[in-house]
Amino acid sequence: MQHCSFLRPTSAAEVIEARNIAKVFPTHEGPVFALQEVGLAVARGEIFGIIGRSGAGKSTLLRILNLLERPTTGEVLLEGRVISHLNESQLRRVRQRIGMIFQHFNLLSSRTVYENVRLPLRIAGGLSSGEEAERIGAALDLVGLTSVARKYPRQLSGGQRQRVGIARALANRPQLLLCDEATSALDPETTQSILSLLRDINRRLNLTIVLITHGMDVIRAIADRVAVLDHGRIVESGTLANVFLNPTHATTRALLAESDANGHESCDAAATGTREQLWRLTYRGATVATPVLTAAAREHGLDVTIVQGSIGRIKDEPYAQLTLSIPGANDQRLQQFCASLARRGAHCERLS
Amino acid sequence: MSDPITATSEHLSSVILALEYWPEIGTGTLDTLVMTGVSLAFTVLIGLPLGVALFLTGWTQRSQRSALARAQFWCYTALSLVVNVLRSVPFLILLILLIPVTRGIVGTSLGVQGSIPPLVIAAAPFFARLVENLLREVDRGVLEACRSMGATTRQTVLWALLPETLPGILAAIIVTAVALVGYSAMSGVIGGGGLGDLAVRYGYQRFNTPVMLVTVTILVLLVQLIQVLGDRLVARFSHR
Repeated sequence: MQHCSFLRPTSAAEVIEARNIAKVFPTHEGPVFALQEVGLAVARGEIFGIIGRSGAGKSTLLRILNLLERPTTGEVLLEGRVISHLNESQLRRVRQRIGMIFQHFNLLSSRTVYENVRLPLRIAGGLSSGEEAERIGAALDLVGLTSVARKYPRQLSGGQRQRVGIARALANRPQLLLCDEATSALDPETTQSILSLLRDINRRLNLTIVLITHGMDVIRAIADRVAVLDHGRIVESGTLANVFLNPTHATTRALLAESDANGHESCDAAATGTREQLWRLTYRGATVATPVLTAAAREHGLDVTIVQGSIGRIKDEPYAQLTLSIPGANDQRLQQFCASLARRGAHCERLS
Repeated sequence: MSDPITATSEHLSSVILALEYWPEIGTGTLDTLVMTGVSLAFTVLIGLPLGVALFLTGWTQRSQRSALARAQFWCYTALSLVVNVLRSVPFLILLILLIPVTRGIVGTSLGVQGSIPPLVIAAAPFFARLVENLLREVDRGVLEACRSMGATTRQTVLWALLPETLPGILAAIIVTAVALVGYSAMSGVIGGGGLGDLAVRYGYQRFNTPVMLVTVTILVLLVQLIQVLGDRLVARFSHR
């Protein structure tokens, strides 16, 4: 096991890749298809979010990435090398370089914070006690827990426990960090602090992170790209802004509506008190700072009512999404209006 | 023959004054301590690995791969059968049945020495079951965390499972120690000696109630001592 060619870093852009994954669980009532035709590729330094409802298969998918669960078909590649065919002892070496954090932290209650963070180093072996101490010190420093190194998990708050979990996951300098609903057991404030810690670590170490969650706010706070999992399939994926601003699948829309991120769902005509046809106008980036709407409206001599809207940032990118009603205009003029908006960098679509 | 209560008060003073039984009571106490202590050590030495083996082959830890799962199943079934058989035979019968085995192990089936193998063989399966149950109680998440870190089964057991269950294992050792004090009383049948034997011989066979009461009192104190010290030890190692 000393010569582990599959662990040698490669120039592959993708840190982790899953190709055409299916997972079938045999049960007494016949086979259950937990995952079907799932593929994803995560680039170095990227934060990739997988969102879905409970039972969608996201937990299984995450466990397939470090082969805690073996896929029925398909392959998993770490830094361009197939790892899904490795045997258990080879996989153990691979997993030592993939950190994982959990919803319920899964710390050893019988061990101090220091010993908890030391565990992955003992498991991997090969470090002198001096080097161990250095790594543990660095990891605890990174999560801001140096002062509680001698305490036991019981003496810590939930947020602190998750920080210990993060320090433990990072101690062995992983290539990849997997987050299994890492903030679902925490209160909103603590959730924000853990998410900003993860984002900070992602930036400082250029660490690739794959996280699963059922909350859009988590995705919105830190993900670069997102995949929506529904009934074992990826129904929608893309950059954060794309998925948030132009959700195409019903599940995505529902998840967005629940998190009240943009509130698209409530913008039907009846709810907004108008009888007119509604249009959704979306623009982002530099366009947000320009008067696209008024310029186009003036050009076509139209009056526009904004019945709903949100303007803000998604992952540092400014965006605006407005719901409009445009009374007294015929189809032709509306089409010209839309074309004029498109020229100015805004996307306009009719709401059914 | 007077009634037992009068006999008690009459004899109690005479015993304390006469002191003729005290050397025997002293020897008995020592024998009990030796039998309990030595057999407890061997019980833990055998029962702990046995309990871990039961846990690792048990249904909660079955492999996803069918060949390994089958091996686990047969291993568990065999171990479990042996454990169940040994636990279902009454200790008195076990003591007699095991005479040839005992002779083979320690060279004699008599005395304190001769009573240790049967005590261990009776207590180890009991202790192993306690350990098995404790290990099953460990949070599954801890096991998953170990797997995600790439730990071997050996590392998981030594560095995570056993430390996590240490307070429980200490408590199980105390329970087993107290049970051994009780079992050792029966070893008088094979001339094992000890306090229990003394109580039976004097109190039951010779109607010497005071000696019986003194020995029983010492047994009560002994069990009490084990429990109090044990509880303190458990509290010391409990970090939940």
